[in-house]
Amino acid sequence: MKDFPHHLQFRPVRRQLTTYRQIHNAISLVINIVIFGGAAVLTGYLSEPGWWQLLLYIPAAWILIHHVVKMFIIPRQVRIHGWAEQADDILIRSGAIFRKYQAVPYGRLQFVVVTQGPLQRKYDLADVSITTAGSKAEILGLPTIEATRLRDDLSARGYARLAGL
Amino acid sequence: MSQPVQQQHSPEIPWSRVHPISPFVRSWSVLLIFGYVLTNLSLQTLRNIVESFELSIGQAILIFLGIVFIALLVAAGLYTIAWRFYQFRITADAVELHAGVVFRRRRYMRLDRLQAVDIDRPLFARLFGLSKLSLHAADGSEATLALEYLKATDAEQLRREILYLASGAQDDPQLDPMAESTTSETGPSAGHSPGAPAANPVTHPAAPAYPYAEYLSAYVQHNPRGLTEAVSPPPGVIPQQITQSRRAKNPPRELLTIPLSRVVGAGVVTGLGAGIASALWALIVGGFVLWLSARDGSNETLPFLIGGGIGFLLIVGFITIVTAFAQVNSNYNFTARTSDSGVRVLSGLLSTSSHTIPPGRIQAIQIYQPIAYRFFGWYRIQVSVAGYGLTDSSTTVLPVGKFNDVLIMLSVLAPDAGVERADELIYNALKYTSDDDGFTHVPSRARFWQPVAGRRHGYMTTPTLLLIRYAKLRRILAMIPHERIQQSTVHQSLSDKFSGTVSARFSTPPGPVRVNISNHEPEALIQLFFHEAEIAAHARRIKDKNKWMADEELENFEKTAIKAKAQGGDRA
Amino acid sequence: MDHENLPYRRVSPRLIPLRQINNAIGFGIFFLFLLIPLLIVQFVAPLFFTNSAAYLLYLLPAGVLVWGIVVACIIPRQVRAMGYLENRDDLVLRRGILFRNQVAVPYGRIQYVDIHQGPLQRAFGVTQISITTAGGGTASTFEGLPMVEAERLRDELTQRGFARLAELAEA
Repeated sequence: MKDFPHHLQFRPVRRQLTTYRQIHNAISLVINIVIFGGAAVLTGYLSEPGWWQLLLYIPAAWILIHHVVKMFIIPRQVRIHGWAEQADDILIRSGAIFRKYQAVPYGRLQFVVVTQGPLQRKYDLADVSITTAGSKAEILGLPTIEATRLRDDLSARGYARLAGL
Repeated sequence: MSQPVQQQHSPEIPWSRVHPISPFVRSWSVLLIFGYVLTNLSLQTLRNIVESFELSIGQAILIFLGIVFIALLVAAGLYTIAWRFYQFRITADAVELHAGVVFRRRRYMRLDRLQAVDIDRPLFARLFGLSKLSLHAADGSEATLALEYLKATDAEQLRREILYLASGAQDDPQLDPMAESTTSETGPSAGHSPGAPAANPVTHPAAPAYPYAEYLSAYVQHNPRGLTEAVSPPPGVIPQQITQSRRAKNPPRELLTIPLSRVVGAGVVTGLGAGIASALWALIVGGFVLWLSARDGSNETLPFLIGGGIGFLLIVGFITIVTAFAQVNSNYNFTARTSDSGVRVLSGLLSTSSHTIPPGRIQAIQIYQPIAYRFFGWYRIQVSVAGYGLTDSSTTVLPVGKFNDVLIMLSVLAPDAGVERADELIYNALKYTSDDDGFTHVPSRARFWQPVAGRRHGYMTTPTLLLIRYAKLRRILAMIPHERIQQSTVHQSLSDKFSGTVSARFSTPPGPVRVNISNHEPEALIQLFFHEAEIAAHARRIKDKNKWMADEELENFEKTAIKAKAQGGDRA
Repeated sequence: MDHENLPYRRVSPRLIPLRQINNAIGFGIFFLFLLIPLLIVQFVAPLFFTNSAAYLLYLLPAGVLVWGIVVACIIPRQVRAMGYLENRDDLVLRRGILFRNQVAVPYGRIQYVDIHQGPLQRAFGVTQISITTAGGGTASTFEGLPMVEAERLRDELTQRGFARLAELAEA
């Protein structure tokens, strides 16, 4: 989306998000390949041989392609991902290829959730998700302190601008 | 509400239970189960059962009735226990519920959270003069508190009380019915709306925050009643008498009724539509079966054809009648009213229902014209209300109406569009498509992705509304007040990537109205994104409030918002 | 996540035995559900077990058993990690040791509060409180408060929204 204004300053998420997501992606790849590849090998072993056995490997191949493509996209996604706290709303940018911009007015937020898994903790990453009455927006890979700060600030600003729903 | 119950927890306000005969009324549903079982067993099976026990017909009937009676007793017993443990009370600012025997449940809902109130009278309850009262908070489709059942008059009384308490009218001495006469020249203006901006000049939106200023001035011109709800109008703009007239209670007024002929007509048309659709399915399936049998080499296709033809007609007839009856049953005697407690729609033949939506609860509106309605110039209106969620029957506030009815309903559902001849605008938007009708269009390079809707899909903004038009065969026009937008999103999908366009979504609470714009020119849509983000952040303060009759609350919002803005500015 | 120094309130320690029982029942059923069919197959249709690889299938219930024991070991820490904090503007609910989760709900956003108590919970004197916000979202359910504390919290939550709003307006 070239037409999106350039003057907006988005704060980037932590660079370590790339590492974390690559590891996550690799683990997911291994698990999925073991499951689907293993299932294919087993079925092939137990059934009569034939050319159609190649079909059994389609899911595994698809998973492989999916993860490899993701591996190349992740660094770009992380570079693009960011947020901008404006006077009355928060802007979130995401998506390497399919770019997406979300604007959530502070006064609309219903609750904020901060989550952190064990691997994320190792890299000091936390995810923040902002829920409104009709939508949800997420910022992934903030430093823990920043996530807590954002959570408190969002709550406070939301509070001050509270109205209706 | 009958039978106050003593509770040590909070002795001031007694707990109540629903009407004591409710358990019996509810246990009638057991009969339905038996009826269902009976109708689904063939006579032969029944005879087999009777014979296997070596009973005479008379004995069998007696035993069957006995079983039904015992089942009824058991059900009534269980419902009675549940009834004893289902207690509620309404305090000055909240509804409380204690329910459950084994799994206990206590619910506490503040009354200013009220999104809608329904009174339903299912056929059985109606025979006993009972009603079901449901209160909805903004939690989706299920009723937050359902009182099954109350005496019809009690239910109405309770609804009146709840709406009065929820409106915040009692917080506002000017609106207290007891103190009605005090509404005088000195009353409201001194401490209320017009005073606030004078005391606090920051409120005046002099800064050229463009959409907000534009929005506000349009409000001043077109929506005087709405404006008195605003706390930060430019000083001197609201004439005194408007503030005064707001004080005058809004007397109940009948908006429209739908004549029986149209209800039946719409029922038949919709029924036929459903019938034809299912018949088409039957044709496809039947054709497939026929083809299979012909492949088998059997030559008896003629009886097949005759049988199929009769079956086909039966299916069409049956589905048409069932759908048409369901429609007529629910829309019979449809009436819409407006009053201080908001919009109320009533309808129903065997079972009746009445839905009350207080002011400021409507999140988005949609004018919908199914294909069948096009021949008659009929329309349907659906609304998104946070309390109703996706439930179909409650969200339809006009099941079938002429364009004029649409306008009447819009006058209470939607804010003034803020343009000259809004009626013309809406009519043309629904009926025609042209290059200069004010709506954007899907650019020709992206038409491939919108094969049916084509040029018709687009949006337009007025000072108060975002209008989005969808579909070509059916006609859909969604209207969403800017201040109702919860979140704005602009993104590029795969089809957008191919055609160099973008799409946007403006989220509202779950309901029948979707607000998605697909495959549009990037520049304009991104501008709309910012425009809406800005308006959504500011303008909601004008209209959004919980207690719709109390001004103080809104003033508070306004003050805190200014403070927050100052703080936010520091931070950002 | 930090905030360790903030005065989070803990839930009742009686939640630990309650969760242990629930966990034992849940995994017990799962375990038997896997084990019994295997035993039946082994003794009724022993042909299947001529292939010694079939015995590997017993790894499944064994795995479930181990998993259940691991969870049982974590439960006390899990319960101790649960906490809630009544901030100036919002209620923060915290839980989890490995996968940490914090939910912040501004007081004024609460649509209604439910307190649930099942028979087992009643025996251990704890409740489950759930907070619903607009748009069909249950922000959080939180187990382990005694009834008195749950009711106090509920009243606090619903009252605070308005007190805080008034305070902000006056300032």
